Amino acid sequence: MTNELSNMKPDFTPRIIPCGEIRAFQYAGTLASELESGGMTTEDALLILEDMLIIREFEEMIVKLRSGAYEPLVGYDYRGPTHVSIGQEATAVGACFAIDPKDYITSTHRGHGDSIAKGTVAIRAMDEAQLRSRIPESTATAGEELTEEALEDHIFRTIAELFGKEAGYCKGRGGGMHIADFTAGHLGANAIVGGGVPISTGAAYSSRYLRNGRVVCCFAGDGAYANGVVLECLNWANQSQFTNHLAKECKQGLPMIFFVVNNHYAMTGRSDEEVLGIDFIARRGCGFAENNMHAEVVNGMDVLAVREAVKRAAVGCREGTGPYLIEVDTYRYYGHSLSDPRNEYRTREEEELWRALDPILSLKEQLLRNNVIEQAAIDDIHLRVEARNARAAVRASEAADPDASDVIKYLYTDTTSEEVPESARNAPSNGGVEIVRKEGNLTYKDALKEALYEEMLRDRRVIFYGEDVADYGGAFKVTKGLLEAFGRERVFNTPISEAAICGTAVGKAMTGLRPIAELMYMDFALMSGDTISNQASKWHYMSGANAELPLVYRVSVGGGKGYGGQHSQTLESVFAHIPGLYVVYPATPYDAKGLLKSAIRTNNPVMFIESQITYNFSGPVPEEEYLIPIGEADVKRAGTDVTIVTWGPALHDVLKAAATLAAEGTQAEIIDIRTLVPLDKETILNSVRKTGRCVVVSHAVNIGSYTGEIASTIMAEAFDFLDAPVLRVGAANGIAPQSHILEKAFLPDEADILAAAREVL
Amino acid sequence: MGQMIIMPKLGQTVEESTIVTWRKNEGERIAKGDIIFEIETDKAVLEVESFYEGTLLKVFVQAGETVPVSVPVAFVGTPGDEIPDPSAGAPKPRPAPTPLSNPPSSSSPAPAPQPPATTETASAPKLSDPQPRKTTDSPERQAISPRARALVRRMAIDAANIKGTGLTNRIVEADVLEYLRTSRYDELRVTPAAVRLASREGIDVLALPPPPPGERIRVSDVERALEERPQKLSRMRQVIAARLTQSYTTTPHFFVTVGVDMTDLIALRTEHKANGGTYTVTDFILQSVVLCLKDFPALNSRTDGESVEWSSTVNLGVAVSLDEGLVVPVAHRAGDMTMAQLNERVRELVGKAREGSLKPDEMKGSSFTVSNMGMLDVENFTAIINPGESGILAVSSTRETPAVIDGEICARSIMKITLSSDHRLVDGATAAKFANAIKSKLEDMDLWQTLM
Repeated sequence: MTNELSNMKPDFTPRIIPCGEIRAFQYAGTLASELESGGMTTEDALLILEDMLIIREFEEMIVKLRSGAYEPLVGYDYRGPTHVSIGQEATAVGACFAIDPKDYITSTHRGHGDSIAKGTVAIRAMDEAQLRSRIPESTATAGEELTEEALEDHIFRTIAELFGKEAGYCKGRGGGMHIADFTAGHLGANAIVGGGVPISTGAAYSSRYLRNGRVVCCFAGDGAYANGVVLECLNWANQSQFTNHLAKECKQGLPMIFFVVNNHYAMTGRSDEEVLGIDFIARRGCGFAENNMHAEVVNGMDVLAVREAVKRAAVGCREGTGPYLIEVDTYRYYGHSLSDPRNEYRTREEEELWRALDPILSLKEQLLRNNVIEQAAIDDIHLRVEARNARAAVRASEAADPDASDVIKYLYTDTTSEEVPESARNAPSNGGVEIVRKEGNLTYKDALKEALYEEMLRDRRVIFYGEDVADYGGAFKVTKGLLEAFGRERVFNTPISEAAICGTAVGKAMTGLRPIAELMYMDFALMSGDTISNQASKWHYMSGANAELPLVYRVSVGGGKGYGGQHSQTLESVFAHIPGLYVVYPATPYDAKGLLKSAIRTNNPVMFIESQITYNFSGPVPEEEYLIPIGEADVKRAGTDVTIVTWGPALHDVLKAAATLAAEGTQAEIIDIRTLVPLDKETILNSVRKTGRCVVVSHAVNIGSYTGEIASTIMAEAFDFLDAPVLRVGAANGIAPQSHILEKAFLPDEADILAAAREVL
Repeated sequence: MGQMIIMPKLGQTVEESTIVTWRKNEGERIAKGDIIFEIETDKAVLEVESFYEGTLLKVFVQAGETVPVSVPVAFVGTPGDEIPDPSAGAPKPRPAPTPLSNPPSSSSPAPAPQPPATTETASAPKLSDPQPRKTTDSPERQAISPRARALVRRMAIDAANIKGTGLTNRIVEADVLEYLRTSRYDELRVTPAAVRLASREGIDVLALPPPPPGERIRVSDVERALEERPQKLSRMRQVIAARLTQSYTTTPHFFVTVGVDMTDLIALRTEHKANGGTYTVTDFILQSVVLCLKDFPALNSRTDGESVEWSSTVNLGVAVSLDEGLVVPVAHRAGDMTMAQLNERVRELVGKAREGSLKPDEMKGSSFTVSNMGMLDVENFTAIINPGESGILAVSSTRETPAVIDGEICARSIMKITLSSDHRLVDGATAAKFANAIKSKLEDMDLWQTLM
């Protein structure tokens, strides 16, 4: 297979670039016309009303709880956020009624409505087996009774999550701002503004790759559309390579709806005349796709208009013409939260204008006007909703709190992809990946490539992407040949969008793929601060273990090449400080291959760190398959006199130092921890108990380094075995300089290790 | 706003005190007048009352600790008050009081007697020391690695005997192993239980007497060593030790003994008692001493070897034996008192001494002391001069003794008194005259008829 070569010719022909037009408020339908045309059934209309009422009732409960006025729970102390969406119900219900129950959503901190509506729609579509698995203890016979119980359970588990109860959707670990129900296709509300957008984008890629027809509706507010990762995702989702000749047989745009819930206030910042430069966010579509992303603006107070627009977009997505951008114009009656009195930034007169267009009132009015239902029946629905919510709230308030001793339960999963499902086995490959094995030795680079190749062969769910990793084979040629072997659906280049590179991996991992994302330099991981640290690392815990995130971030450390401060950092300590991530840093070809394979197979997110210093180091790597367990240190050299704990490229200097010490009669024991998190404490402690002396060595700057964590662990758990203080060797507490002379002084070397070892001996 | 409770200065010359017990615990309510804690000064235990109402929020100085006066020891306030830093604003440690050996300025009036410098623990760290306390590598503390210390503890040996060769001469494991080898620890026969006990109690098994051949050191051997292990002297005994050592090693003592015929006085006192009188034999002795001191200024003076200070009145010290040691309350201006007044004052002081409630000033400033062991059935004894005095009278038991009167042998009640004198001020003849003057007074019934 040959590479696709660009053949771009200079073209400076004078021209005008058309920007097309964006439709706004074009929906002319009414309830009557929808019913008449068969666009909607009476039953649906009533369910839409009911769901909007559930949401309104639910959020009014939160408001009342705060002032002690919720009668079913007088005196209940609700501790948690109060970002209510009262006024916006048409956006949540309209969108969720327009997509299929199997489709996905991501939501926001103001996402009670999205979460409730996604659940009710999904539950009503479930068969008996699915319902019974949600409520296994139910004694309901079947049919409506079972559905009704599942609906009440849905409200109960939602409120229980807000109340931080073990019975909540996320076992009280997430709360209202991180509520998720993966069984209903809800990939999570997100308390980071814009945080759900890369997750949706990744999930849409899964749908495209798996060809499962699942559309992703990404709820995000006007505030999010000024956020970096969101703009990255708008571009990401519209990449030409998904639809042009590069896509070969899969010319499918991402099946994603960028559903912009424009309530006009980003907390309090005014999107209209203050913090944005455009009147309609739908204009964003022009900047990212030739088709303007089919962008349109819809009346978000009209549930019928919202539903109609999303329905069209969902159809388009399934036909491969995604992504779509739908801006819904809506309004939140309350402030950002209940602590926001609103009067600093808007008028009560403005609020009244919007309240007059209340989506629930206007639907009721249309139902009555068209004689679909009588007032008494509407009152019945209302009473039913009220009673159901109250029962759920009382049950939730009485539900068990989580056990305090389980405070970090669900941080990690112990599951792996030991068994590849039938459908993902035997991935097709064009072969031809060049791996040079000399007398049983591989370079570190080829060891990585062999691991990637073997795992991608083993499991079709494993995909790999990053900047310049495809045709070019990566900036350091680690992945040369993988594109040729597996094709562009599984190996592709990305825009220079590190936040989206790492963030889309989260969505992919949540929806059935096992992504490996490469960051060319570890320094760039700081561009992905949120997507790695708030999303990838936290979702297993925040979802109460309902989501697993089998993903690997391969990051490369450039230190030692004179690349200066922004391409030389070894930041493993930063990520070791983020609970929820595994942090792996192998130093030898053998460890690199065995650990990368384990990293790909674990269902935890892994920061897999490689040093460019070691890429060309050669070492024995057996041809037969092997795995190295994550969290197991390796004694690289046995000794009796001093323990040297290290990882990454520092190992090679430590080995030299040990040889020098041996010539002097001192036997150093070298422990390569290989993984920082989880840390193999016992191997370290056993060695220190034997030698009584320890030096911890890494290339990281000492301040805040994980070397300190290890020293402190030794102090706490093996103090009485110490014959000398534990010393650390790291880089100077400064910034990596470009000058070769300075960088040599900056990085620790054999002499520094020897000096520290001699000091403790 | 709370209040700092400071270490009170309960005597003119007290520089520091030890907290004996806290009568209130942190968190307890305190009313004005409640006893908060007890302190021990050189010679007495005193109760400290609260001037404040509130809650005892924080104790800075624990029982057993010694701090200078005026140093904050606790904080009283309302719960929630911020507890101030006790070291802020605390007075600087005072310089050690000028010892007597410093030549006093000739123009200044006679200084109040100062406690000897040896009673000060001037080198002990003070709370208000501005220097942070060093916990490691201080020259007086032998550094030892945790690993070596664990081995020392496990082996039940004393690290003080081990030379450190690690960084900054820290004792490291290798040093302990070397020490064990050279001290032939391997050959030591000791039961594991004995090692465990010794390890726990910090007994050095190498210092235990070697067991008889064929036997091992047992738990009972360690227990014996534990019983014999030096115990710290009480503060009172330390003060006694310091003061008496100072006196006995710097004051040239000599002793004069006379026998006093107490027959008539005992008869007189028996009759006095039968009539409801309160004078004891001691009162007669004390009164005699007071009277004689007026005639013998050398014995009511003191010297540092270079100058002499005479006291114009008699401040009479009376040694009182307590279970935990010895105190000497002082009847100030005894020379200006009637016998009845002296009797009353001494009775009061002895009572307070037995209760431990003497104030520091009531134990300072004596010019001469009487130590009476009459009730303890002793033939004769000598006493050590209290520092700052030139003599002490040791009074022994009164015994029926054959005596010759008018050529006839008859039984008389004879009491031996021994005067210890500072030879720098008092010569043998003076001492002999003084002792005999006391004897004369005690045997002079006419005198007592006028004084009683």
